[in-house]
Amino acid sequence: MSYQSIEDIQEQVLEAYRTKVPRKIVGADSKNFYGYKINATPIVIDIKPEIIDYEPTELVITASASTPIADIQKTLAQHQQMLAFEPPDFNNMSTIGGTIACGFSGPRRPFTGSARDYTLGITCINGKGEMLKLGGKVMKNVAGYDASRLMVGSLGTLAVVINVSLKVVAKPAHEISTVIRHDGGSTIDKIKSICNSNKYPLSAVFADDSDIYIRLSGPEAYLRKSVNAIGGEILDHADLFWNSVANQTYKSFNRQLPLWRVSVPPATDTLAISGAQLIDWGGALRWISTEDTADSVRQVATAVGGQAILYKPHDHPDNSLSIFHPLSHGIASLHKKLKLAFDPENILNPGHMYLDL
Amino acid sequence: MYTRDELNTLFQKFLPKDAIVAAVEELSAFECDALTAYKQLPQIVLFPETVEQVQKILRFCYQNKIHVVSRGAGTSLSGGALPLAEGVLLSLAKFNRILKIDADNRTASVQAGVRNLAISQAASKYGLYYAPDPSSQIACTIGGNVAENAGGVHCLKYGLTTHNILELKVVTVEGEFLTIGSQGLDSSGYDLLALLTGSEGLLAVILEVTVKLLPKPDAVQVILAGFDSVVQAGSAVAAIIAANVTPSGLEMMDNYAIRAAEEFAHAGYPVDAAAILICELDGASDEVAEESNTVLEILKSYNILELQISKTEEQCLLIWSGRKGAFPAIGRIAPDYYCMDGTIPRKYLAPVLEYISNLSAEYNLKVANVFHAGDGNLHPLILYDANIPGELEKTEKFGAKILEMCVKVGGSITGEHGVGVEKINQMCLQFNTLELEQFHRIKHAFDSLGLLNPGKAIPTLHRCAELGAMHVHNGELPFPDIERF
Repeated sequence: MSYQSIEDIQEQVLEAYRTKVPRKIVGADSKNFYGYKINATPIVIDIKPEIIDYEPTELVITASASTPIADIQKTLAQHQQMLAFEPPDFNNMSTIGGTIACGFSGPRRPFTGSARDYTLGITCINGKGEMLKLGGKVMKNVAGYDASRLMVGSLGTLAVVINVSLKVVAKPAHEISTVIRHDGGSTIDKIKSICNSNKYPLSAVFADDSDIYIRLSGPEAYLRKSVNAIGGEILDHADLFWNSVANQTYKSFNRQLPLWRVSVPPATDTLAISGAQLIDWGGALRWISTEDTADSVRQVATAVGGQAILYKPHDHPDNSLSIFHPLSHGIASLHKKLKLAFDPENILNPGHMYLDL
Repeated sequence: MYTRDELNTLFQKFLPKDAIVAAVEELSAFECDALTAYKQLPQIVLFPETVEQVQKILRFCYQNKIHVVSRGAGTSLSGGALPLAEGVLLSLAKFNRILKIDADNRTASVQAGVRNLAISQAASKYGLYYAPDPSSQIACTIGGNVAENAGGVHCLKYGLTTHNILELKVVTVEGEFLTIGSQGLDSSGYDLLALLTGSEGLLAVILEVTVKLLPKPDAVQVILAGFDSVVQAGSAVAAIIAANVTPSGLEMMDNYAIRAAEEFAHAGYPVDAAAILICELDGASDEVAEESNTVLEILKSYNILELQISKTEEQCLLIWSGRKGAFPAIGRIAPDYYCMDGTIPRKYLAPVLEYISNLSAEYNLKVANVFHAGDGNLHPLILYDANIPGELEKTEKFGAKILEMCVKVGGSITGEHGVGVEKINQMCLQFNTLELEQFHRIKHAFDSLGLLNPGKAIPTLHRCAELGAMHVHNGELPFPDIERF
């Protein structure tokens, strides 16, 4: 298999810059459901997948954008380490470049941090075709603006990610998951009481309409004690279950309805939106399959200090629905200026995140 | 340009008299921050207390192209709040209210001028605390912490300021009030929260911060180990990390720092040790017990001169007292000291220390080394006497060499203190022209006239060109000489 060189990609961006012809940035295309659809010739990022630098005692890994998440996790696991933000891996093909561009994190996120939190440095090509090294490979680095974290979740609209340096963490020695069956009480109250305790080494708290799933990570004896205190039944094949949550293959994610990703303060009560709700991140993330209008979903989210993203529009692939939470006038204006600061000819994924950006 | 008196008159039109300091004898209190080597009498200092007043000030300054430097408690170690001879020093000291502690959601919303420690104190009754703990936490403000992306002893486990905040309320240079981030974990659009954090007052004025709070750990254990060589101590740090233990603090001090700290704090430090490690573990008690066993096993495989294991909270505090008193302790034995803040990949700890030691002999200036060893953040303290002509300049050259080496081995010129005015030249080493240009375009997106905190954090290309500095980037050396120092 032949890969593109970084110079090839840089040349394609330069060409787009010179000709002012917009391009669509594509990695493994495993997240093509996310964001507005763009009608443009793609620049396919298929550079050599490679772990460029990894020394376990430095707790830092650097990999090329095309490196599959699965490969990174496998390499880290050999040293009992992992990516703390538990990124989704769709169809076993997601790359680290796409993961960072989308800023996706899994169930461990509220307890250990997000993709953005673990990003230390990014090498990227901006819309002028300039190769930039933003951030670095050390955990503490406050020199210059924190532009590498700005790239996380920017959906390839500011620059093309070439490689990424991430902080990694120790894989917990042991993990146990327990399931608390719904007893008629408030799910959120139950989650709140567990999350606000300092007694449990939580690493995931997820709920569907019948059960609360709790994962604990740490020394074995301590986990058993915690499980006894929390109660519930031990979950068999817990790894498979949590993978299905992280990768959104868990059955409740696929209801043939538009799927919303609503970020709220964790103690927020069940949202007044019709349809099935999944609770992840100890309450801070609500997955909602609903036919309610975008406006009404957003009103509910905004009223509790949250934001709503139409994560999978389902039957609306025609850009007719608004995808991301609307920005205030002032913030939208800053977005446009920042977009131009990185991509003055507006050639990188224009309209992918907001139609006018 | 307006004179001081003219500005005084103009600001009195929309600010109360007691919100303006324009008398020279009072202004001198604001002539520097904690980087006292740099001093500049401000033209005028303003103390607004409402959002509207800040907006009016900024609109006035924007219309009249007047520079604005924001100031919290003035504890910056890099001159981030150094005033300007012509321009406004905007103090946020009156924004000192804790607006809300939300125990259910584990957040606190506070005004920018609230002290770091005051947040944890207010959250304490809910069993919660705010994790980032810069050493100046008793005095420094959360607004300044955000502006500098402050760290501290506990950031190895709990992260920097950027990992511990959710939402900012800011005013732009044009006087527009904006909310950045949200009360939830995620926000749509670009991560402006990350961009604002550590932007050193160059992008906007921060007025309010919502921080994340954590449940206070159930148990804390502190272990102190004395080593007969710095190399051995550095190796033990790597071994602890390799054992997949994440201490809440992992600090190292060299002999000179140990002696100074012991004399100052009487913490019971082994004064003959070449280096000490202080390892703090926190969490639930069973977890802490297991992790501390792992750490002790590791330490015992080294030639340890002394081992102290805290049994009580008092013993924890005693062990920490020496480390936390290290800077004032050095301040007692030298007329002045210059605190550096480079970060390196941990594996280069021993050679970088040896390099510093050689420079110390070359410049004939003593150095005490204190580090956040767990995350490779060095704080060499160079001792000097500002009253000896030329000694400050010599010290700065020495410091610059240390920072250059940090960049050469793939680290950073600043881990937590910020660039400010102090390390502006070294920015030319860490970043190339294209990257600096990108930074300037980011600045332009927020502040097209360049009015906010000019001359700090990001050097002009002209300055870098004049310095003629050779750019070294992320350890990619133009000459592979790492082994030689």
